[in-house]
Amino acid sequence: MQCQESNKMLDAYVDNEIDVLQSVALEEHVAGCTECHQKLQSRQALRKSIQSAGLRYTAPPELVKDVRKALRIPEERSAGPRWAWFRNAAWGFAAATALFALVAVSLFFFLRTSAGDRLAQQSTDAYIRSMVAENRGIDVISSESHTVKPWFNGRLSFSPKVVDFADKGFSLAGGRVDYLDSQTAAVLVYKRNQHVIDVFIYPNAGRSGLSMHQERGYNIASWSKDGMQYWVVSDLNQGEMQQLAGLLRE
Amino acid sequence: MSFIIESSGRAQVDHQEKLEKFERLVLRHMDSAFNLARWFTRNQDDAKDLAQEAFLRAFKAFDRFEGDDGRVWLLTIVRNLYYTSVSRQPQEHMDFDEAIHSPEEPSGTPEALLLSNLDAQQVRQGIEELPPEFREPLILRELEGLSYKEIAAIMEVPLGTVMSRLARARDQLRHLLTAALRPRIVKKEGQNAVSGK
Repeated sequence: MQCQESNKMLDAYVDNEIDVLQSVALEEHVAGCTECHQKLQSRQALRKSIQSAGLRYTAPPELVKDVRKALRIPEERSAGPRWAWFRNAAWGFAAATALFALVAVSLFFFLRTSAGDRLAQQSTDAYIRSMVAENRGIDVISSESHTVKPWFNGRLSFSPKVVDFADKGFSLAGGRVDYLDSQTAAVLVYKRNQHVIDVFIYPNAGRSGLSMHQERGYNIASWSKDGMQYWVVSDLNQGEMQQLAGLLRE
Repeated sequence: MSFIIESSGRAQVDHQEKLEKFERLVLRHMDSAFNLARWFTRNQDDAKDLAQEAFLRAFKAFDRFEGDDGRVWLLTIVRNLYYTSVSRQPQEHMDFDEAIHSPEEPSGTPEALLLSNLDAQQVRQGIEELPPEFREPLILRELEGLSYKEIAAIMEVPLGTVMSRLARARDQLRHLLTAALRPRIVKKEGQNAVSGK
């Protein structure tokens, strides 16, 4: 590959928009060309500066409220069906019957599914719930592990390990406290591009290796180590999930 | 009587389903819509109005929406709304004085080091100074993490155009930002009008 071609592809390369063969060719050229190497470094430095500058605006709470109001969407999604339905006795009865059937069916499946599947479901539910909550379910917003870790003090009876992996492409966005497996759990929220990753951590004496699950299109990784149980939920692909799991397990 | 109850009940169920689907596919991208609107309008209140209007339009047109990527669709609406509401066309060309903005090649300190030590305010200002047709793909790529294909769909330009505009956007931003760090040199170059190319 020549400098001219390398120049032309540099942006597509840093944006991950060229195929593996082209990437390899470009990397080979850059390794032997000081000028292109410097250009690549500049590009990467510039991208890092842009992405770490916090330039993305987030919707103000009043916009969220106004849009919901204009579309007549209830504030909390978990509020479920509108109560107005139940003013009508017929619908109330139908809904009660349906609810009973639903409970019966879910109890049946609940008893059938293994603990692992159940926890994969629970963590996915918590993940989805956090996505529709304000602030994406992040109660302490910070990329500083020194801010996030102390925040858990007094909220939990244990102290989770908090590490930012921004240099590896997984930047710490904050944390919250959630409830999983009948106990309170620390949740570390990471971001990779626009993907959000929830890492649930709670004490568990057991010890198990990494296992991957899938639940409603989300990828889930779990393991226990050093007395802590980990559940990682995200819409990332499996490879990226394993990469993050590897970092967390180090 | 029972028919009336049933049909209004049915309509309500449909409406409820539509709301839930809208919430799941479109409404969750509130930040994306607002971010783009905010960079367009450069003003908090105008951005709120633009984003809200976009959501209302999106909801009205939601029956016609197919697919499962609400974000690209929503951002297209934000963009179209912006350009029609201010009755201006997306600018295809804007003069950018390369001579003024081109710094001398940094000597001594590697450029990468300069670029990685910029503060947020400098970067924001630099991006704001870019011509709109370069700023837009940069925002969509770096702040929204969209692929070239998605950006091409939103901006209604070919994929190759996205690639070349992004490259130019970053080149110009690099010039702007490294120039900002050396005001003395920029002044001198401005007088001499020497092209950096």
